[in-house]
Parts: sequence; C-alpha cells; structure tokens
Amino acid sequence: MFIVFFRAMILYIVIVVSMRLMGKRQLGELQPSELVVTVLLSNIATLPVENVNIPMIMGVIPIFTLVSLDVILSHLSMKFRSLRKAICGSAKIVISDGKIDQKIMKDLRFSVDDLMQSLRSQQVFDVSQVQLAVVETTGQISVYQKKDAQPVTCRDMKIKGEDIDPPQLIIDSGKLIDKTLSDLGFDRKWLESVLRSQGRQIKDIFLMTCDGDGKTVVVPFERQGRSK
Amino acid sequence: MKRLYISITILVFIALLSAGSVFAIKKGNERLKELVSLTQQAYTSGGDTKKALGELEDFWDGYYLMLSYLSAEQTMADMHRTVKKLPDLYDTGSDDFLAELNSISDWAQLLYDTQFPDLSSIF
Repeated sequence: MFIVFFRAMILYIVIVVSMRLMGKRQLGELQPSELVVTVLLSNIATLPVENVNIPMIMGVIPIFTLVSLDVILSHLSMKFRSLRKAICGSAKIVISDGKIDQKIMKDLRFSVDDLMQSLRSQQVFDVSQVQLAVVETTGQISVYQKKDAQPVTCRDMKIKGEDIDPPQLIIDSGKLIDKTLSDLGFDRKWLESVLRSQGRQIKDIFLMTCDGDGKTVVVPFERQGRSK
Repeated sequence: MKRLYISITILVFIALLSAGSVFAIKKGNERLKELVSLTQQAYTSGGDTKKALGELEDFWDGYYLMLSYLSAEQTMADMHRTVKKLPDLYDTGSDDFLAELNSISDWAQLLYDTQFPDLSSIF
C-alpha cells in the first residue's frame, strides 16, 4: 500500500514537471502531437502505480522521453515550416464570403452541426454574415464577420483614446509582486507612499491592482466579523 | 530556448542511463557466469562448493537489487528463486544442482538479450 502511495506522489510530481516542460497550453488548444503525448503520459503514469512489480523508472523514463521529444520536435517545427505542416497540419478555410466550402468540410470530416455549433459559440448565428471562417490546426474555428455584422469600434466612430495597459495585480494576499510593479514603471517607495496615504501597509492588502497611469484599486483583508 | 536545452539534456541523460544499464547488466552477467562456472568446477572437482556457493549468493543479492531497478522480467524472479534454492539442492545432494546452475547462466543471457536494444527486442 505504501509503495503505491509513494509512487503516486512521485509520479504526480514527475507529470507536473513534465507538463510544465511542455509549456503553457490550454487543453483545447493542444496540437495533435501534444495530444498524443498527453494521452500516452496518462497511460504510462498509471502502470507503475497499478503494478508494483514494474520498476518506477519504467514509468519515469518514457514520460520524460516523450515530453523531451515533443519539446524538441516543436522547436524544430518552429524552424522548419514543412515539418510544422507535416506534424500539425495547416489551417483550412471553411467559409469564404458566406459560402461554405463543402469539399474542405468533407476532408476535415466536419459535420454541419460541428460548424454551426462553433459559429454559435462565437455569437454568429447566420452563415451569410461570415466573411471568413478558418479551422485552426487545433480544431477550433476562427471567424471573421462581414463588416456590416461586426460590432462598432472606436475607430468606426472616429473616437480617439489613449492606448494604456489594463490594470495588473501588484499585491497578492499581502505579498508584493515586484516585477509587475517595476514593469508598470513604479517602485516600492511609490507604492508605500500610496498606501500610507490610505493608512495601510502592504501586509494589510488582500488584492491591489494598478495601471500604467498609477490608478490603483485596493482591497484590504477582511477582519474577522467585519470588513475594513 | 531554455526548454529545448532542458529537453536535450534529459534525452542525453536518459540515453546515457540506458546505455549504462545495459553495460551494467553485461558486466554483472559476466561476473555471475564466472561465479556459476567456479561453483560448477568446485562441485565436479570436489572443491569447496559451499564457499563458491556463498560467493555466488552474495553477489546475486547485490546484483538482484540493481536489476530490480532496471527490469521487471519474470526471468529475474526465476533466477532469484533458483539461486536461493541452490544451497538446499547441494545439501541434499540433488542431481538437479548442476542443471539449476546452468539455467542461471541461460537466464542471465536471456535477461541481457531482452535489455540489449536490437531489432528483435525493440519490435
């Protein structure tokens, strides 16, 4: 029993480390090769846990081998477009100027239901409103609507505005995130003066955001029974 | 780029580890076969078989521990059982003693063959 317990813990760490090595990707955005690696990992990892006769190294070695190969292959595919096309495939246009390309749909084994579902998930209910719909290599559909169906933008209305970064988290649960603060162009001294003017210290803050203009939002820790 | 270097390092490490394990099994097998042969000689020539058997058993205990990290072959379990019953076979003067000693050498070779990466073991 203990062997299974320890093995499960060790393999959990191994899997987490190997997934970090693969990089940040949402599950739905996995490329075919990454999906294969993910499916294989989940199977391989269970073998030494289920069967204590199998040495754990027999689980760890294939996991790291597969992940390392995937990372190397993805780096190579970044360098060589033809390799990328061979491994990941290429994006396909399924709707152009409101017209569905039935041949591409057939090639991709995409049903009308699949297409309509993907369009609806992007708030498009009328195929004729689509200027371009592309099936990405991850299987997701990107939609570009016709001009008259697109929401009005500031540019359309000829409204000028400043391009400023959105607010970013600079204090998380009483801990200062130095890098974000310096990326925004501020320092600890400035932050402390802002907080001092409110009669607070960094350790009192649950959440604090700041934008490039120095506009801050402060949420202090709730005291027991009442909020400050 | 950092990930690429880490991945290449891991792959190289795994390749070296794999090569090292095959080499370790080859070396271990050579020593095992040598000890088996010495035991056979001692038995047939009326030498100190007990001492040779003790050496064989001592070596096997360490070798078995190392093998258990590298392989999950049934062969290993068979070899372990055989090595452990050799003293009893010798004490009872069983005719199977020499045959069992031979089988240890054969199993050792079989174990190496399953670990050595050639076409038959890969596919």
